[in-house]
Amino acid sequence: MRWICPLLFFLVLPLQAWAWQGLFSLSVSAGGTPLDQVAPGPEYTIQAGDAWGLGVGVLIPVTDTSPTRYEAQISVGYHFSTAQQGDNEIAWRRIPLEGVYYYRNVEQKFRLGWGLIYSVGNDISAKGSNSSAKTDVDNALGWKLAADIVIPHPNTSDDMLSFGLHYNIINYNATSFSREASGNAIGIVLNMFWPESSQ
Amino acid sequence: MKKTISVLMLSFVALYSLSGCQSKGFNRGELQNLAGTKKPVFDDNEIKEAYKKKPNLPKPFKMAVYFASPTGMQSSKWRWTDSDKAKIAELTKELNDQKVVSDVFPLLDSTVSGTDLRSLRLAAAKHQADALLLIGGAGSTDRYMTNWGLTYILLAPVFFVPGSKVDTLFIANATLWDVKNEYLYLTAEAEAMTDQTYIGAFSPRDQDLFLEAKTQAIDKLKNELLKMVQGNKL
Repeated sequence: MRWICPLLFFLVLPLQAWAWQGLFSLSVSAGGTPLDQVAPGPEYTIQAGDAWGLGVGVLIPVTDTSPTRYEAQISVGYHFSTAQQGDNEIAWRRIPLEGVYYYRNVEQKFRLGWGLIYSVGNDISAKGSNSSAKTDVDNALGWKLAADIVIPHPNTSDDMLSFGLHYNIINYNATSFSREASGNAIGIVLNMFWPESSQ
Repeated sequence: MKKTISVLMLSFVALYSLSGCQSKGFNRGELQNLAGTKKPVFDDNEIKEAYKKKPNLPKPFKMAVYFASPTGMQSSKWRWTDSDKAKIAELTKELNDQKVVSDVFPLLDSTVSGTDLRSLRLAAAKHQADALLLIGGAGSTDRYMTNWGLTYILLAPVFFVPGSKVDTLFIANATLWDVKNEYLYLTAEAEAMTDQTYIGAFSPRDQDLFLEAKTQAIDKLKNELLKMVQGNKL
Protein backbone atom coordinates (compact mmCIF):
# COMPACT_ATOMS: atom_id res chain seq x y z
CA MET A 1 0.00 0.00 0.00
CA ARG A 2 2.76 2.44 0.92
CA TRP A 3 4.29 1.98 -2.55
CA ILE A 4 1.18 3.33 -4.30
CA CYS A 5 2.25 6.94 -3.77
CA PRO A 6 5.73 6.46 -5.26
CA LEU A 7 4.16 4.63 -8.21
CA LEU A 8 1.73 7.50 -8.80
CA PHE A 9 4.66 9.91 -8.71
CA PHE A 10 6.38 8.05 -11.51
CA LEU A 11 3.15 7.96 -13.53
CA VAL A 12 3.28 11.76 -13.81
CA LEU A 13 6.68 11.65 -15.49
CA PRO A 14 5.60 11.33 -19.15
CA LEU A 15 2.60 13.63 -18.90
CA GLN A 16 4.19 16.98 -19.70
CA ALA A 17 7.73 15.85 -20.43
CA TRP A 18 8.28 18.64 -22.95
CA ALA A 19 7.87 21.24 -20.20
CA TRP A 20 10.31 19.89 -17.61
CA GLN A 21 12.60 22.23 -15.76
CA GLY A 22 15.83 21.11 -14.16
CA LEU A 23 16.62 22.36 -10.68
CA PHE A 24 19.39 22.64 -8.15
CA SER A 25 18.62 22.96 -4.45
CA LEU A 26 20.32 24.04 -1.23
CA SER A 27 18.86 23.33 2.18
CA VAL A 28 19.47 23.39 5.88
CA SER A 29 17.34 21.57 8.43
CA ALA A 30 17.33 20.85 12.13
CA GLY A 31 15.43 18.64 14.52
CA GLY A 32 14.89 15.07 15.58
CA THR A 33 16.29 12.70 18.16
CA PRO A 34 19.90 13.35 19.24
CA LEU A 35 21.76 10.46 17.64
CA ASP A 36 24.03 9.88 20.63
CA GLN A 37 20.92 8.90 22.62
CA VAL A 38 20.17 5.96 20.31
CA ALA A 39 23.46 5.07 18.64
CA PRO A 40 26.44 3.53 20.39
CA GLY A 41 29.51 5.59 21.15
CA PRO A 42 30.40 8.87 22.81
CA GLU A 43 28.28 11.94 23.24
CA TYR A 44 27.98 14.27 20.23
CA THR A 45 25.59 16.97 19.19
CA ILE A 46 23.93 15.79 16.02
CA GLN A 47 20.16 15.28 15.78
CA ALA A 48 18.75 12.76 13.31
CA GLY A 49 17.09 15.52 11.27
CA ASP A 50 20.07 17.88 11.12
CA ALA A 51 21.44 18.40 7.64
CA TRP A 52 23.11 20.67 5.20
CA GLY A 53 21.79 19.58 1.84
CA LEU A 54 22.51 19.74 -1.88
CA GLY A 55 20.20 18.34 -4.52
CA VAL A 56 19.37 18.13 -8.21
CA GLY A 57 16.12 17.20 -9.83
CA VAL A 58 13.34 18.07 -12.23
CA LEU A 59 10.11 20.02 -11.96
CA ILE A 60 7.31 18.49 -14.02
CA PRO A 61 3.99 20.26 -14.66
CA VAL A 62 1.12 17.85 -14.02
CA THR A 63 -1.74 20.11 -15.11
CA ASP A 64 -1.60 23.02 -17.56
CA THR A 65 -4.18 25.31 -15.95
CA SER A 66 -3.68 28.89 -14.89
CA PRO A 67 -3.43 30.73 -12.53
CA THR A 68 -3.45 27.59 -10.35
CA ARG A 69 -1.84 24.33 -11.38
CA TYR A 70 -0.21 21.20 -10.01
CA GLU A 71 3.39 20.20 -10.47
CA ALA A 72 5.66 17.40 -9.30
CA GLN A 73 9.24 17.87 -8.16
CA ILE A 74 11.52 14.82 -8.12
CA SER A 75 15.02 15.16 -6.79
CA VAL A 76 17.99 13.36 -5.35
CA GLY A 77 20.18 14.98 -2.76
CA TYR A 78 23.07 14.62 -0.40
CA HIS A 79 22.46 15.53 3.24
CA PHE A 80 25.18 15.70 5.84
CA SER A 81 25.83 16.99 9.32
CA THR A 82 29.11 16.85 11.19
CA ALA A 83 30.39 17.31 14.72
CA GLN A 84 34.10 17.76 15.19
CA GLN A 85 36.50 18.22 18.07
CA GLY A 86 40.09 18.29 16.89
CA ASP A 87 40.83 15.02 15.07
CA ASN A 88 37.69 13.40 16.43
CA GLU A 89 34.91 13.72 13.88
CA ILE A 90 31.43 12.29 13.48
CA ALA A 91 29.41 12.71 10.32
CA TRP A 92 25.77 11.78 9.71
CA ARG A 93 25.12 11.32 5.99
CA ARG A 94 22.27 10.20 3.80
CA ILE A 95 21.01 10.37 0.23
CA PRO A 96 17.35 11.36 0.12
CA LEU A 97 15.25 10.63 -2.94
CA GLU A 98 12.33 13.04 -2.82
CA GLY A 99 9.10 13.33 -4.71
CA VAL A 100 6.95 16.33 -3.79
CA TYR A 101 3.58 17.14 -5.35
CA TYR A 102 2.77 20.84 -5.34
CA TYR A 103 -0.29 23.00 -5.68
CA ARG A 104 1.02 26.14 -7.34
CA ASN A 105 -0.65 29.56 -7.47
CA VAL A 106 1.10 31.57 -10.18
CA GLU A 107 -0.63 34.87 -9.39
CA GLN A 108 0.03 34.76 -5.65
CA LYS A 109 3.53 33.31 -6.25
CA PHE A 110 3.36 30.46 -3.76
CA ARG A 111 3.14 26.71 -3.74
CA LEU A 112 2.13 24.11 -1.17
CA GLY A 113 3.30 20.54 -1.39
CA TRP A 114 3.31 17.14 0.17
CA GLY A 115 5.43 14.18 -0.75
CA LEU A 116 7.69 11.32 0.06
CA ILE A 117 11.31 10.99 1.08
CA TYR A 118 13.17 7.75 0.67
CA SER A 119 16.48 8.03 2.44
CA VAL A 120 19.21 5.62 1.33
CA GLY A 121 22.92 5.29 1.94
CA ASN A 122 22.40 6.41 5.53
CA ASP A 123 25.40 6.11 7.77
CA ILE A 124 27.14 7.57 10.77
CA SER A 125 30.85 7.73 10.05
CA ALA A 126 33.37 8.49 12.76
CA LYS A 127 37.09 8.77 13.25
CA GLY A 128 39.45 9.34 16.08
CA SER A 129 38.25 8.60 19.59
CA ASN A 130 34.65 8.68 18.30
CA SER A 131 35.12 5.72 15.94
CA SER A 132 32.89 3.50 18.07
CA ALA A 133 29.95 5.59 16.86
CA LYS A 134 30.37 4.34 13.29
CA THR A 135 27.30 2.49 12.08
CA ASP A 136 25.15 1.91 9.01
CA VAL A 137 21.52 2.99 9.25
CA ASP A 138 18.60 1.31 7.44
CA ASN A 139 16.91 2.91 4.47
CA ALA A 140 13.90 4.90 5.61
CA LEU A 141 10.67 6.09 4.01
CA GLY A 142 9.07 9.27 5.24
CA TRP A 143 6.86 12.22 4.38
CA LYS A 144 7.46 15.83 3.54
CA LEU A 145 5.31 18.96 3.76
CA ALA A 146 6.42 22.07 1.95
CA ALA A 147 5.41 25.71 1.58
CA ASP A 148 7.39 27.88 -0.82
CA ILE A 149 7.39 31.35 -2.26
CA VAL A 150 8.09 31.12 -6.00
CA ILE A 151 9.80 33.86 -7.94
CA PRO A 152 9.14 33.62 -11.70
CA HIS A 153 11.56 34.58 -14.42
CA PRO A 154 10.97 38.28 -15.30
CA ASN A 155 10.82 37.61 -19.07
CA THR A 156 9.04 34.24 -19.26
CA SER A 157 6.46 32.47 -17.15
CA ASP A 158 8.97 29.82 -15.99
CA ASP A 159 9.84 29.37 -12.34
CA MET A 160 13.22 30.87 -11.52
CA LEU A 161 13.63 30.50 -7.75
CA SER A 162 11.65 29.07 -4.88
CA PHE A 163 12.33 29.62 -1.22
CA GLY A 164 10.43 28.10 1.65
CA LEU A 165 9.95 25.94 4.67
CA HIS A 166 9.89 22.18 4.48
CA TYR A 167 8.97 19.74 7.24
CA ASN A 168 10.30 16.18 7.05
CA ILE A 169 8.61 13.35 8.91
CA ILE A 170 10.86 10.31 8.95
CA ASN A 171 12.22 7.71 11.38
CA TYR A 172 15.59 6.00 11.22
CA ASN A 173 16.50 2.60 12.53
CA ALA A 174 19.62 0.47 12.73
CA THR A 175 20.52 -2.83 14.33
CA SER A 176 22.88 -0.94 16.61
CA PHE A 177 20.27 1.62 17.65
CA SER A 178 18.71 1.21 21.05
CA ARG A 179 15.45 2.54 19.66
CA GLU A 180 14.02 4.27 16.58
CA ALA A 181 15.40 7.76 15.98
CA SER A 182 12.99 10.43 14.84
CA GLY A 183 14.39 12.46 11.97
CA ASN A 184 11.50 14.95 12.03
CA ALA A 185 12.99 18.28 11.13
CA ILE A 186 12.07 21.68 9.82
CA GLY A 187 14.23 23.15 7.12
CA ILE A 188 14.72 26.04 4.76
CA VAL A 189 15.08 25.13 1.11
CA LEU A 190 16.20 27.21 -1.85
CA ASN A 191 15.52 25.82 -5.35
CA MET A 192 17.02 27.31 -8.50
CA PHE A 193 15.31 26.30 -11.76
CA TRP A 194 16.74 26.02 -15.24
CA PRO A 195 14.70 27.24 -18.18
CA GLU A 196 11.96 24.95 -19.54
CA SER A 197 13.27 22.14 -21.70
CA SER A 198 10.95 23.02 -24.62
CA GLN A 199 12.60 26.45 -25.09
CA MET B 1 4.54 15.99 17.62
CA LYS B 2 1.05 14.94 16.44
CA LYS B 3 -0.20 18.42 17.42
CA THR B 4 2.54 20.02 15.30
CA ILE B 5 1.63 17.90 12.31
CA SER B 6 -2.07 18.63 12.80
CA VAL B 7 -1.44 22.39 12.93
CA LEU B 8 0.68 22.21 9.80
CA MET B 9 -1.93 20.17 7.95
CA LEU B 10 -4.74 22.54 8.95
CA SER B 11 -2.72 25.58 7.81
CA PHE B 12 -2.07 23.77 4.57
CA VAL B 13 -5.76 23.05 3.99
CA ALA B 14 -6.80 26.59 4.92
CA LEU B 15 -4.32 28.23 2.57
CA TYR B 16 -5.17 25.77 -0.17
CA SER B 17 -8.93 26.22 -0.01
CA LEU B 18 -8.67 30.02 0.13
CA SER B 19 -6.63 30.09 -3.07
CA GLY B 20 -9.65 29.41 -5.25
CA CYS B 21 -10.13 28.27 -8.84
CA GLN B 22 -10.76 30.93 -11.42
CA SER B 23 -10.54 31.61 -15.11
CA LYS B 24 -8.29 34.46 -16.23
CA GLY B 25 -10.49 35.36 -19.20
CA PHE B 26 -9.55 36.48 -22.71
CA ASN B 27 -7.82 39.56 -24.07
CA ARG B 28 -10.18 40.36 -26.96
CA GLY B 29 -8.25 43.49 -27.96
CA GLU B 30 -5.10 41.47 -28.54
CA LEU B 31 -7.03 38.82 -30.49
CA GLN B 32 -8.62 41.43 -32.74
CA ASN B 33 -5.16 42.84 -33.47
CA LEU B 34 -3.94 39.38 -34.38
CA ALA B 35 -7.03 38.72 -36.54
CA GLY B 36 -6.02 41.63 -38.71
CA THR B 37 -8.20 44.49 -37.48
CA LYS B 38 -5.37 46.97 -37.58
CA LYS B 39 -5.32 50.04 -35.38
CA PRO B 40 -5.14 52.95 -37.79
CA VAL B 41 -2.29 55.42 -37.74
CA PHE B 42 -3.47 58.39 -39.74
CA ASP B 43 -3.53 62.12 -40.06
CA ASP B 44 -6.22 64.53 -41.29
CA ASN B 45 -4.98 64.37 -44.91
CA GLU B 46 -5.51 60.62 -44.96
CA ILE B 47 -9.05 61.10 -43.71
CA LYS B 48 -9.69 63.60 -46.50
CA GLU B 49 -8.22 61.18 -49.05
CA ALA B 50 -10.42 58.35 -47.69
CA TYR B 51 -13.54 60.52 -48.17
CA LYS B 52 -12.56 61.12 -51.80
CA LYS B 53 -12.68 57.42 -52.58
CA LYS B 54 -15.87 56.28 -54.23
CA PRO B 55 -17.42 52.86 -54.71
CA ASN B 56 -16.45 51.52 -58.05
CA LEU B 57 -17.75 48.00 -58.40
CA PRO B 58 -19.37 46.87 -61.60
CA LYS B 59 -22.43 44.64 -61.39
CA PRO B 60 -21.64 41.80 -61.21
CA PHE B 61 -18.01 42.02 -60.09
CA LYS B 62 -15.07 39.67 -59.94
CA MET B 63 -13.87 38.92 -56.43
CA ALA B 64 -10.55 37.58 -55.18
CA VAL B 65 -10.55 35.84 -51.79
CA TYR B 66 -7.49 35.74 -49.56
CA PHE B 67 -7.22 33.84 -46.28
CA ALA B 68 -4.58 35.55 -44.12
CA SER B 69 -2.38 32.86 -42.57
CA PRO B 70 -1.83 32.98 -38.80
CA THR B 71 1.52 34.31 -37.65
CA GLY B 72 3.72 34.02 -34.57
CA MET B 73 2.40 31.80 -31.78
CA GLN B 74 -0.92 31.45 -33.59
CA SER B 75 0.72 29.62 -36.50
CA SER B 76 1.48 26.56 -34.38
CA LYS B 77 -2.10 26.29 -33.17
CA TRP B 78 -4.34 26.60 -36.22
CA ARG B 79 -4.47 27.07 -39.96
CA TRP B 80 -7.18 27.59 -42.58
CA THR B 81 -8.47 24.21 -43.72
CA ASP B 82 -10.23 23.11 -46.90
CA SER B 83 -13.42 22.92 -44.86
CA ASP B 84 -13.15 26.63 -43.90
CA LYS B 85 -12.52 27.58 -47.51
CA ALA B 86 -15.46 25.44 -48.60
CA LYS B 87 -17.78 27.39 -46.29
CA ILE B 88 -16.72 30.71 -47.81
CA ALA B 89 -17.08 29.08 -51.24
CA GLU B 90 -20.74 28.36 -50.32
CA LEU B 91 -21.18 32.06 -49.64
CA THR B 92 -19.59 33.05 -52.94
CA LYS B 93 -21.76 30.53 -54.79
CA GLU B 94 -24.83 32.15 -53.27
CA LEU B 95 -23.58 35.60 -54.32
CA ASN B 96 -22.97 34.17 -57.77
CA ASP B 97 -26.55 32.83 -57.90
CA GLN B 98 -27.81 36.28 -56.88
CA LYS B 99 -25.68 37.76 -59.67
CA VAL B 100 -23.74 39.92 -57.19
CA VAL B 101 -20.43 38.35 -58.25
CA SER B 102 -19.56 36.96 -61.67
CA ASP B 103 -16.37 35.14 -60.75
CA VAL B 104 -14.61 34.22 -57.51
CA PHE B 105 -11.07 32.92 -57.23
CA PRO B 106 -8.66 32.35 -54.37
CA LEU B 107 -5.42 34.24 -53.97
CA LEU B 108 -2.72 31.76 -53.10
CA ASP B 109 0.26 32.62 -50.90
CA SER B 110 2.54 31.68 -53.79
CA THR B 111 1.08 34.49 -55.93
CA VAL B 112 1.39 37.32 -53.38
CA SER B 113 4.58 39.18 -52.64
CA GLY B 114 3.52 40.39 -49.19
CA THR B 115 0.64 40.22 -46.75
CA ASP B 116 -0.02 43.95 -46.53
CA LEU B 117 -3.14 45.33 -48.21
CA ARG B 118 -1.30 46.97 -51.13
CA SER B 119 0.51 43.73 -52.04
CA LEU B 120 -2.74 41.80 -51.86
CA ARG B 121 -4.54 44.36 -54.03
CA LEU B 122 -1.73 44.08 -56.59
CA ALA B 123 -2.05 40.30 -56.64
CA ALA B 124 -5.84 40.62 -57.03
CA ALA B 125 -5.35 43.14 -59.86
CA LYS B 126 -3.11 40.67 -61.69
CA HIS B 127 -6.08 38.31 -61.59
CA GLN B 128 -8.24 41.13 -63.01
CA ALA B 129 -10.37 41.13 -59.85
CA ASP B 130 -12.57 44.11 -59.01
CA ALA B 131 -12.78 43.40 -55.25
CA LEU B 132 -10.70 41.67 -52.64
CA LEU B 133 -12.29 39.73 -49.75
CA LEU B 134 -9.74 39.47 -46.97
CA ILE B 135 -10.40 36.88 -44.24
CA GLY B 136 -8.44 36.75 -40.98
CA GLY B 137 -8.70 35.07 -37.61
CA ALA B 138 -7.14 34.60 -34.19
CA GLY B 139 -7.85 32.38 -31.22
CA SER B 140 -6.98 31.89 -27.59
CA THR B 141 -7.51 29.31 -24.87
CA ASP B 142 -8.08 29.81 -21.18
CA ARG B 143 -7.37 26.73 -19.08
CA TYR B 144 -8.39 26.74 -15.43
CA MET B 145 -9.45 24.44 -12.64
CA THR B 146 -13.01 23.82 -11.58
CA ASN B 147 -13.98 23.15 -7.97
CA TRP B 148 -13.41 19.43 -8.64
CA GLY B 149 -9.82 20.38 -9.36
CA LEU B 150 -9.29 20.91 -5.64
CA THR B 151 -9.26 17.11 -5.33
CA TYR B 152 -6.07 17.03 -7.39
CA ILE B 153 -4.09 17.83 -4.24
CA LEU B 154 -4.47 14.13 -3.43
CA LEU B 155 -2.55 13.26 -6.67
CA ALA B 156 -4.60 10.17 -7.64
CA PRO B 157 -7.70 12.18 -8.74
CA VAL B 158 -5.63 14.02 -11.36
CA PHE B 159 -5.80 10.81 -13.40
CA PHE B 160 -9.56 10.33 -13.37
CA VAL B 161 -11.45 13.39 -12.06
CA PRO B 162 -12.53 15.91 -14.75
CA GLY B 163 -11.53 18.94 -12.69
CA SER B 164 -9.99 21.13 -15.41
CA LYS B 165 -11.76 23.24 -17.98
CA VAL B 166 -10.69 25.01 -21.14
CA ASP B 167 -12.54 27.86 -22.85
CA THR B 168 -11.55 28.50 -26.47
CA LEU B 169 -12.37 31.76 -28.22
CA PHE B 170 -11.91 32.24 -31.96
CA ILE B 171 -12.52 35.55 -33.72
CA ALA B 172 -12.88 35.56 -37.53
CA ASN B 173 -13.24 38.72 -39.55
CA ALA B 174 -13.66 39.70 -43.18
CA THR B 175 -13.18 42.94 -45.11
CA LEU B 176 -14.15 43.69 -48.72
CA TRP B 177 -11.91 46.19 -50.53
CA ASP B 178 -12.02 47.79 -53.95
CA VAL B 179 -8.89 46.63 -55.78
CA LYS B 180 -8.53 49.86 -57.79
CA ASN B 181 -8.89 52.51 -55.09
CA GLU B 182 -8.89 50.71 -51.71
CA TYR B 183 -12.47 51.74 -50.98
CA LEU B 184 -13.72 49.70 -48.03
CA TYR B 185 -17.14 48.24 -48.88
CA LEU B 186 -17.83 46.24 -45.76
CA THR B 187 -16.42 44.59 -42.67
CA ALA B 188 -17.79 41.65 -40.77
CA GLU B 189 -16.68 39.89 -37.62
CA ALA B 190 -17.87 36.76 -35.86
CA GLU B 191 -16.65 34.98 -32.76
CA ALA B 192 -17.27 31.56 -31.32
CA MET B 193 -16.50 30.22 -27.88
CA THR B 194 -16.38 26.57 -26.95
CA ASP B 195 -15.67 24.94 -23.63
CA GLN B 196 -14.56 21.52 -22.56
CA THR B 197 -14.05 19.86 -19.20
CA TYR B 198 -11.22 17.36 -19.02
CA ILE B 199 -9.22 15.17 -16.68
CA GLY B 200 -6.24 17.20 -15.43
CA ALA B 201 -3.50 14.83 -16.50
CA PHE B 202 -4.87 14.42 -20.04
CA SER B 203 -5.09 17.85 -21.53
CA PRO B 204 -6.61 18.34 -25.02
CA ARG B 205 -4.32 19.89 -27.60
CA ASP B 206 -4.74 23.52 -28.60
CA GLN B 207 -4.94 22.43 -32.24
CA ASP B 208 -8.05 20.33 -31.61
CA LEU B 209 -9.71 23.04 -29.51
CA PHE B 210 -9.02 25.75 -32.07
CA LEU B 211 -10.40 23.57 -34.88
CA GLU B 212 -13.84 23.36 -33.30
CA ALA B 213 -14.07 27.04 -32.34
CA LYS B 214 -12.76 28.16 -35.76
CA THR B 215 -15.33 26.02 -37.56
CA GLN B 216 -18.15 27.64 -35.60
CA ALA B 217 -16.72 31.15 -36.11
CA ILE B 218 -16.44 30.67 -39.88
CA ASP B 219 -20.05 29.45 -39.99
CA LYS B 220 -21.18 32.61 -38.23
CA LEU B 221 -18.92 34.80 -40.40
CA LYS B 222 -20.43 33.35 -43.56
CA ASN B 223 -23.94 34.29 -42.40
CA GLU B 224 -22.77 37.71 -41.26
CA LEU B 225 -21.09 38.40 -44.61
CA LEU B 226 -24.20 37.40 -46.53
CA LYS B 227 -26.30 39.83 -44.47
CA MET B 228 -23.75 42.61 -44.98
CA VAL B 229 -23.56 42.09 -48.75
CA GLN B 230 -27.34 41.96 -49.09
CA GLY B 231 -27.69 44.99 -46.80
CA ASN B 232 -25.14 47.07 -48.72
CA LYS B 233 -26.77 46.15 -52.05
CA LEU B 234 -23.40 45.69 -53.75
